[in-house]
Amino acid sequence: MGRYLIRRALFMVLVIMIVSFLTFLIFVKLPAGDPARRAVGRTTTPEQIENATKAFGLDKPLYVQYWRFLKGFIPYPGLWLTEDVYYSYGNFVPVKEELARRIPITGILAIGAAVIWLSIGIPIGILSGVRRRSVADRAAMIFAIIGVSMPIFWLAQLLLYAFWFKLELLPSSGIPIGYNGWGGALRAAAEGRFILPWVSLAYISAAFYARMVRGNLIETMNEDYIRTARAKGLSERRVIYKHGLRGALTPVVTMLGLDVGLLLGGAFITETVFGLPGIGQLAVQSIPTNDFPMVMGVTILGAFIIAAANLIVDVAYAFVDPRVRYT
Amino acid sequence: MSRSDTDTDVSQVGQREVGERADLESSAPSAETPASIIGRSPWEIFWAHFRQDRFALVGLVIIFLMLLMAIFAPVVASITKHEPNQVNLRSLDEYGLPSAPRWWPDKYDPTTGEKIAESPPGYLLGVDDTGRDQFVRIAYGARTSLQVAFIATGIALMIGVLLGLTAGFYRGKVDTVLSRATDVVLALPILLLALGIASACGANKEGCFWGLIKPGLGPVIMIIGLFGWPYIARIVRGQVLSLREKEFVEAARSLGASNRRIILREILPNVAAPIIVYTTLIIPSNILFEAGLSFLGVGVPDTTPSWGGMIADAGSAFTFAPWLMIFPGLALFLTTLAFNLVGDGLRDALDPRKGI
Amino acid sequence: MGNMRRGVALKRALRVIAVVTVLGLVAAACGDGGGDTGPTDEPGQPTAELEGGTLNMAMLADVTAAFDPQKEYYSVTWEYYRCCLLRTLMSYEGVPTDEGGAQIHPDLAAGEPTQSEDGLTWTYQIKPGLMYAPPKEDTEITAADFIRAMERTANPKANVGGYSFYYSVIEGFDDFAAGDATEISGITAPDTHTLEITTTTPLGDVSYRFAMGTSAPIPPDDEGERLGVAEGHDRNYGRFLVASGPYMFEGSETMDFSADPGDQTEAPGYVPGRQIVLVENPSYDPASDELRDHYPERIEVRIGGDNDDLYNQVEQGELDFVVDGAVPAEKIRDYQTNPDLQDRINIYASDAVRYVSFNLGEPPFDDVHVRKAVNWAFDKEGWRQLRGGPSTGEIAGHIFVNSLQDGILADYDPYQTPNASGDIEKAKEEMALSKYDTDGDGVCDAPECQGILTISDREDPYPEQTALLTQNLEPLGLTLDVKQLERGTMYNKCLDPNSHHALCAAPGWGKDYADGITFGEPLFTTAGLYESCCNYSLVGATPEQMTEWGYDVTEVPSVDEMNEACAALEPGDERFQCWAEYDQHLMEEVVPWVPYLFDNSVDIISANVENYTFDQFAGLAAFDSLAVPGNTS
Repeated sequence: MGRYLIRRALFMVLVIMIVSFLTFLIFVKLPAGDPARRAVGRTTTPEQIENATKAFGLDKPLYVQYWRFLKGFIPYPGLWLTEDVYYSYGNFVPVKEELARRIPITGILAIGAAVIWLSIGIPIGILSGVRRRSVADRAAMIFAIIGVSMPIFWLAQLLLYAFWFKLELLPSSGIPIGYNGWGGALRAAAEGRFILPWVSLAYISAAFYARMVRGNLIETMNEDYIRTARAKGLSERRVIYKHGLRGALTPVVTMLGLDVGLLLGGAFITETVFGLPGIGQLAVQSIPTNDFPMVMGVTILGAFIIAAANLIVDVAYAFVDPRVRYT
Repeated sequence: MSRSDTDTDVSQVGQREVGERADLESSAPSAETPASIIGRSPWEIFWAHFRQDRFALVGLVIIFLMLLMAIFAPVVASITKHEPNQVNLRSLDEYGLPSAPRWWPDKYDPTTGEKIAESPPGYLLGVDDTGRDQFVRIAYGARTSLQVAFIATGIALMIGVLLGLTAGFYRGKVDTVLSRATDVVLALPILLLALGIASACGANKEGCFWGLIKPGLGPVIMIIGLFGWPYIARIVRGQVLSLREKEFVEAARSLGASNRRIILREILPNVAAPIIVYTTLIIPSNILFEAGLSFLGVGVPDTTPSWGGMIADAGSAFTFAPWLMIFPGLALFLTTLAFNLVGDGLRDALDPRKGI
Repeated sequence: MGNMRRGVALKRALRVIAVVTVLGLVAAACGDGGGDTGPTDEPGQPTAELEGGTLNMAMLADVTAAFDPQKEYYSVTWEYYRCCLLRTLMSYEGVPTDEGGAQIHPDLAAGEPTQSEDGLTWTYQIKPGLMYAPPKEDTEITAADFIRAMERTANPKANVGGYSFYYSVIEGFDDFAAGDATEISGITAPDTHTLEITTTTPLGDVSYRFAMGTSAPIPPDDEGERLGVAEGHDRNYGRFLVASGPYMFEGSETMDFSADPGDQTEAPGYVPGRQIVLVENPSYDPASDELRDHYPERIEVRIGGDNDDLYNQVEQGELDFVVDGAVPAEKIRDYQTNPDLQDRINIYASDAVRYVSFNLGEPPFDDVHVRKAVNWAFDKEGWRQLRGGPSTGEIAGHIFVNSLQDGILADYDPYQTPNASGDIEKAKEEMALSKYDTDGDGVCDAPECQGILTISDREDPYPEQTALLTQNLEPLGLTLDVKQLERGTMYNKCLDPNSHHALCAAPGWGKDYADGITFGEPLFTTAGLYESCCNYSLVGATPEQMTEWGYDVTEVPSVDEMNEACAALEPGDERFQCWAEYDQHLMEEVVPWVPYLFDNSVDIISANVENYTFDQFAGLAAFDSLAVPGNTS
């Protein structure tokens, strides 16, 4: 187990390195133009551009620049997203600070949505799987296939149109002034400002989960050990809920870990549509303006969270699925 | 053995947020099915099942209609006499606001109570905020979506099948390297990189990567193709791993068949079913991915109509011009729904044990 | 100089862009504007019933450099500085140009400066007894603090993105900037309340340059810290800003400058990207200030959000004002047509022009007849309609905004067409004279007319406008290859002659000296060529430069001499006339542009706002004049 964990952790580091290198490669020579030029604005002199280039360290060779950014990956105090390198080329705000400000929003969004989609998706999936071919099953699967086909940004707009504009039931978007940190995000959640984003995210994911749970349950029920359990004379109810579900829900753990990891790395579209100042919105805003350190910061955070989620899932797997051996 | 090597692995493609994940619940029928049923040809069995699935047939019809629309988009434009980028200022009101389709039921602006301007005759679905014919743009948008659906998915498919076959068949070091590579690609923040590549490649006439990728639909297709293969590779590999131990493969080998022949004649036909099912199921994800990129403003340029881009443009106008949001969204939704229905139908038909 | 920096969000209808507007020399009425100003009052004499309350504003995007005065070159920040945070030697009243807004007045200076006989040295007396905001409430504003600001302005580590070039004329400034001198010889303090500024050439507008935020005093700190409180904050002094105006960031008093710079905590009132909260500065002495209204007791600004959503909130009264948004066309329609709303929309000329520029080196636009033909064919009315209709501005018939020429050319348009919608017949006549129309039928038949590289902005309404242009030029045989780019990229590509673009379809330009030179020099002379600024047409480029950039065309017209001649004149009628003639020469002989719109600033305010005043300096509402006495927080 220990060796396995180390191996996975090393793999995680490798992935993050590759992500960083790709990001650097893609963004550093972005034709969107020289960040120094952009920073000094349109009216300028060659000296000013030179000054800005030096101030940003863009005059150094590429490998030096990459190394400067790479140091920001080292989770050692002072090096992790160090403020000397990781500050916005746009407004000079440290990346660390900006991320810290946005994490609560993205966190509440992702966790809230996950709770909703689990509490909808799993029961529906179980119900459908148990009562196969019933009317309820058919209805549920229509609900699910609509969900998996739905473009989230369109759903978001439809929801806004209905619940904010027409019915005037819910606030449209955004986080009001003064709602800072986790407290602020929670307060916004309590006022219903996350309801529409949650619902948008959750409906689509719930649809996926319902289909997955149903399929897994049906498959599991065909397994030999279930037949054995039946043959032993256990009640059907007991067979399903004691043995069947265990097999059917195991993959949910994996999926949930990865999904939440992905969302924590930034719910790009949802945050954009609903004007939520989270990590995803930051990425979407920073990329076109070539705010490279910000992009790099978001990428590192995203890659880190995804990798960590992978690791956690792997460990959790060991507990829920006895078939997995660690060698 | 790590989790990713187990057959129970449930993977997901990239970002669900833009639907870039195929729905892998029991995604692939097991490869043994066709081989295990002897007597009727597998295709006869398949068709017997498939034709009973009304949902899947409806899906097929929708896809067919969308294909027609894409192919005949220029005909639509010539009938309406509006090109997709043709601006007609007379179809806007004096403030430059879009006008509603003539048949639009709600004739009054919901906030001000004033009468909404009507599009001139010939604009079936109204005009956008530039005075462009929305119907024509939706027709051309079908081209964008379907190109992504088929070309990008095709690229992903080719890479995925090739790598999956290689890894599964040769096992050993080759397999280890390829599987690890697959894991790495799976762990990449794809949407983020896609945003970067798309905005990098869209900025210049020359494109990016030394001119390999030109602005337009190219970058989007490349991104989807280059990042979409790992799941296919994994599924194929898993199937091949079990197939290569089967008797008929052993038999072929003992008859002196070359590896090439075994792969092409014995294994490939038997993994075709799961590949087809899976491909149909990732097509809607890929369509949504393109739409998502265009929605975020880094996909195809404005002059190439894209449903995602149209929905993004309509977003700021839905309080007074909801028709701009509804129709492109509907077209997009129906298309993805159709592919999903067909995919589900295919899966059930190819693997009757799991049928609805 | 006039700077339309900073795009906002994605795919949003940005119908107005920020314009940094500096220095007003002219108090001329602008041709357009009008609109409703709401109740007005005499600035500097606050009316008690307008005071108090919390002003709720919103900004789509944060300021550009987190309020660092040596970096901020953005109209919105400049308004925060002028109205609220920073007092400068000289300043403005925060009113429209036609109400005297461009006139400069003493602010921290005790009176007008005196000029030495050689015209090189200006002496300012500073008002005694004025204190900084907390935590520097015990520190008096003295002459040395202005020198400190200049030293920071010259500091390349601190002035990224700023406008230090305005101060190069100060003797010794460049030497100090380069590290060759330990102080700026041209700015000295003979005593604590006297400031002497010496320039290398005689300069009439020193006062205007000391009305900009970068020149605002920086208080001293511990002994040995040359940059005072800004020491150790090269990147982020804005967040530790010590105010001198009527407002300060909330919680400014909690800043502790005695700590190590790395350990200091910034004022909590400003959270980048999220919020700005300004509260009254207890040190501020209204009796010493005749320029500002400072009506609200508190100003809260929320950063971020969706343009249209924010304006809905203004309509509903949840917000009072949106600083940097673009009023959606449907809101303009509502507010102009609904009698209840009519006094809540404010439209002023923002002294900026929008245009399409030709690259004079790139065929077929090396031929003046082709350029004229495009001018004739251009549907200016259509471009305005796509931007949101007549309220967005006045159709432009020439290049310089009217206030820079005292309105001499207000009715001038050499390419006037019916309804300003273009005249294809006239265009064809002109095209027939061109060498690219060999058969003289008015349709270009040369290969150069195919696939003309056109750089444009990807935000609304530019894609639509370029689509319209494509349509309008088709009958002339011109086809466009349009590239739509993010705004900053767009400007970079337009400026770079190596990009070989033929048309730049989305630029705009605002005055910032209210003097013609802010148009005449950067836009059309060699001084504005790559990689300085903004001469996208390559007017005045030398044959060597043209060859270096890879052009086959090497001869382009030059207007350097005309510009110099005008710049040498004394301010006044003669100078106005000179800029007008220069403008006519450009329009008729050089034809570098199609100017199509003199921009308006359009604002709507909530029902809570009882006074609105437009400030010509920043081209925005004067924030401190937005009176919301009824708003309690």
